[in-house]
Amino acid sequence: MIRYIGQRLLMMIPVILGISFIIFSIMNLTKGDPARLILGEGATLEAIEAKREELGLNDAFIVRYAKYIARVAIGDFGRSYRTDAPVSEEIFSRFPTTFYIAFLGILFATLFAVPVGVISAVKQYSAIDIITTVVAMLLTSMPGFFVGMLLILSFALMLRIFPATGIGTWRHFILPSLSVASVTMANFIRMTRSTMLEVIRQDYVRTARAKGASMRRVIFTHCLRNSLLPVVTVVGINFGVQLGGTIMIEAVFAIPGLGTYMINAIRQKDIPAVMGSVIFAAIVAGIINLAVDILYAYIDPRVKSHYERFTKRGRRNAQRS
Amino acid sequence: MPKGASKRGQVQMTWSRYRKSKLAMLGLVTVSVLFFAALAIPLFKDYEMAIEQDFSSRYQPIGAGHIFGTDQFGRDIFIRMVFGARISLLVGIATVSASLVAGAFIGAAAGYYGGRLDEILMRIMDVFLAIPNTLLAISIVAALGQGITNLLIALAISQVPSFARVVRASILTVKEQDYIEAARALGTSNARIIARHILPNAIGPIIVQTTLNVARTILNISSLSFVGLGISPPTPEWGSMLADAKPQMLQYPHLILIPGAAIAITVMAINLVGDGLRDALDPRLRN
Repeated sequence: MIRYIGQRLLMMIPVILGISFIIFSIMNLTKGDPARLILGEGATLEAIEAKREELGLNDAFIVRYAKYIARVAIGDFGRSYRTDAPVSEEIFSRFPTTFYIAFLGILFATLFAVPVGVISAVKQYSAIDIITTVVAMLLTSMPGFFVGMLLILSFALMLRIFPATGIGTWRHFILPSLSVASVTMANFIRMTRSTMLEVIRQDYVRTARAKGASMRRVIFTHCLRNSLLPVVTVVGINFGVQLGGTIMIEAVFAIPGLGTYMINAIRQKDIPAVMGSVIFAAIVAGIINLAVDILYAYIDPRVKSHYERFTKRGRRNAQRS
Repeated sequence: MPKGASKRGQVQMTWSRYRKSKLAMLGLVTVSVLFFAALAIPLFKDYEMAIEQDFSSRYQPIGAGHIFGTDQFGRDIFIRMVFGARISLLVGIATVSASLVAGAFIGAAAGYYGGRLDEILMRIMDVFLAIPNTLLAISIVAALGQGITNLLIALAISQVPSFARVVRASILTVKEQDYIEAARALGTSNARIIARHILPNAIGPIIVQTTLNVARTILNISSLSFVGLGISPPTPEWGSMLADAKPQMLQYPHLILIPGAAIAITVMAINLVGDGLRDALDPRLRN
């Protein structure tokens, strides 16, 4: 298992290199000189030239990329062009905010979606099922920022229960989390429903029913565990993506999280800040995916035995060669 | 068997299965109405009417004169909504067509030739897929600058990998069939086999993906415009209308409810068509 985790972590490296290369190229295609951006419009040509030299902007593109990656490898994400603060400090100070919103959002979505999906599958084609399907459909069709605006309008401006913008108390996190939940929930409901439908039709369920077990018992003891596996994956992937910054939702609620940091950095062509946050998001998503796969192995013994066989075979092949 | 007959048969069968779903038909009717309105609006109303400000008639309520009222600049909201539909649908379809062509090219080459080429192309696509869609689009827009064309390019690039994957997967499923072998034995060229024999038989999942991607693109257009990186005012785009109306939403809720509903209805209708097509093209997938 440890060997497997090591392999997976190593496999993340080429992906992160690829992502960082793409974003680095895109940001460097941009018109506008970072040195001029830092120094402002009034700067002299000599000052700009000196700054360019200091930032290493006069090197060839590929040299700059290689230097950047070499620094990232030892954990140095550089300093923001705009504020001159270390990018890693900025990211770590903003991460908790984004984490709370993403975590609460995914939690709300899962707690609501799984029971609803199960009921919808068990009572297929009933009124509940049809209403659920239509509501899920509607939720996937609404942009998250619009749901956020509706929540602000009703719960903050009209009912005055929760604050509309900013962070501070737990109350600030409720509406943004609900917006995240609404975007992801529909996906979870559909997934739970369709895997549950598949499992219900299996032979062992019929056998259990034939032996006289009640439907409730069959669903809780036999179906749920098997049908939740794919749901765990979808929940995990969504959590990983949301941790990278819920850009639109942070924009609606004026939340100083990773998403806001990223979009401001992109707008201001603050290359170190953009690169740092993108690489950070990719690493977090990769780690969450890995955690989901490990969790999978613990829930499903079949998957675990597959990994063990896989690593054993790998060892045997290594000995042979 | 004459070729035309079998083709018509398949289309008819798909249609008769599609028609059975009420939700799918509702989606189709809605999409058709929106599409027709979006194409026909310039014949009835001048585009200037959606742009020109008239401060004597600001914030008119819903009702007579203006069906949906007027906005903070005195412009008729209904006219702006229909021109907005025109922008969303046309940009959405253009974006998806562009990425479909590029994705089909990459996916077809990878799936058909396999081997090292497949490996390289798909690894590159995986890296692109690992970058969240909106983030990739935002950084491309930031690099290219704002504007409808640049938005189109950015959104198209960010969707190429998903098309490449679907096309590749579809091709792999039909590649090993006997009739492909037969065509090859007859000396048919590779390009012709892909275009004439493989793609038509692998088209189902591609059509479904295309439809669903149009819906997703419309969401992305409005999201990017909302944060000021897409289509900017005064162009009547739904997302930027929402951003404009946000400060006054308590006093004039209809200013956000109408564009929001327009996005939701359009996207939902297209999604319904996509789901209906998926069920009709491959009944085995139905739950």
